Amino acid sequence: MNNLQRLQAAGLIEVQHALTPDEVSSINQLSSAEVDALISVRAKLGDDFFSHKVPVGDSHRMGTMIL
Amino acid sequence: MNSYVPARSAGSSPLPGRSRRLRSTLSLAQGRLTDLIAQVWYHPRLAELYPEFLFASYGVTSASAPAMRMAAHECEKLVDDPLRQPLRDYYLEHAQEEQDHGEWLLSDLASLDIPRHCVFERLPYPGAAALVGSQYYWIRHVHPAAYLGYIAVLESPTGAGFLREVNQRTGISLSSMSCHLRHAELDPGHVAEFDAALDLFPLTRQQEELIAVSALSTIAHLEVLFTQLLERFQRIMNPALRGTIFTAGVPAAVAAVQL
Repeated sequence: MNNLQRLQAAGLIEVQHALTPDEVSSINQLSSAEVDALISVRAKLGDDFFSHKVPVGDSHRMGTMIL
Repeated sequence: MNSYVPARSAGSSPLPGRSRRLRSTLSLAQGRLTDLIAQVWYHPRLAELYPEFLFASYGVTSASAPAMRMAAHECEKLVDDPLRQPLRDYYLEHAQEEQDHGEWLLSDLASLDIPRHCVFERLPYPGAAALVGSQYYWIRHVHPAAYLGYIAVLESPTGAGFLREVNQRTGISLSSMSCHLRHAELDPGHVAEFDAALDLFPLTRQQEELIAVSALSTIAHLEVLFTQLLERFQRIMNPALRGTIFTAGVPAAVAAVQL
């Protein structure tokens, strides 16, 4: 089972979801530990994997939190 | 963050793809967190609730320099690890740079009539303790390189232009956003500099994985923290549940819009 199939099996990515080539490339480069961590992060919070309600520009401008 | 870039050690080579790969991995998982952060910045009562946001931030920010120093201390215990010296130096330099950020937040809170003794009397958010506390585990019980994953996620300051828009939209004074502003303006190249350092550190594949897992864990903890913050924002609607939430007087123009 490859990374994409694991994430689909975990319910993080819907099978019918159309992935961009960049997304597929990123997923294929993940290690097993990283896939496990992704599954833990998302499964815990039950969110859609590719939830991007916020415009990309804003996501960079808002930052995260002050280090 | 700025000047320190680790020197290339013998036998290691810079991997410009490493930071790009980490960013790519994080982009897969950051959507939910981004949504939550937007809910805070675009909250209809942000002007009133901004002190609570600063308080939540203080719980995280004031812990950064001590955590970096602890990570540096753990580096000194490493044996036969080429990261020992460069990573220690990196953490110590950046601990110095982050040293005053907590004070900046206290000043911003004071400008909103929340004196520091009130900040110290309140317990930090449980989400802040979990976020920072998990790093102590990774650093002490796995490897101090883990903290690089934490930095990768948190070293992403709010843009100065965005803050000015917030000022225009909400009436929150720029002087009350001085910590955010100084962070943005003093260190415009922070992300690129961090990524350059990450590419130069002599990391093993396992340490790279650790950094990625630490970063993903950081995202999960930040989601919890921002969820807790938004839950407290909701309590403002019910006077019986307001408790100790810090609020500010709302500028007249903003109050008129809210009505």
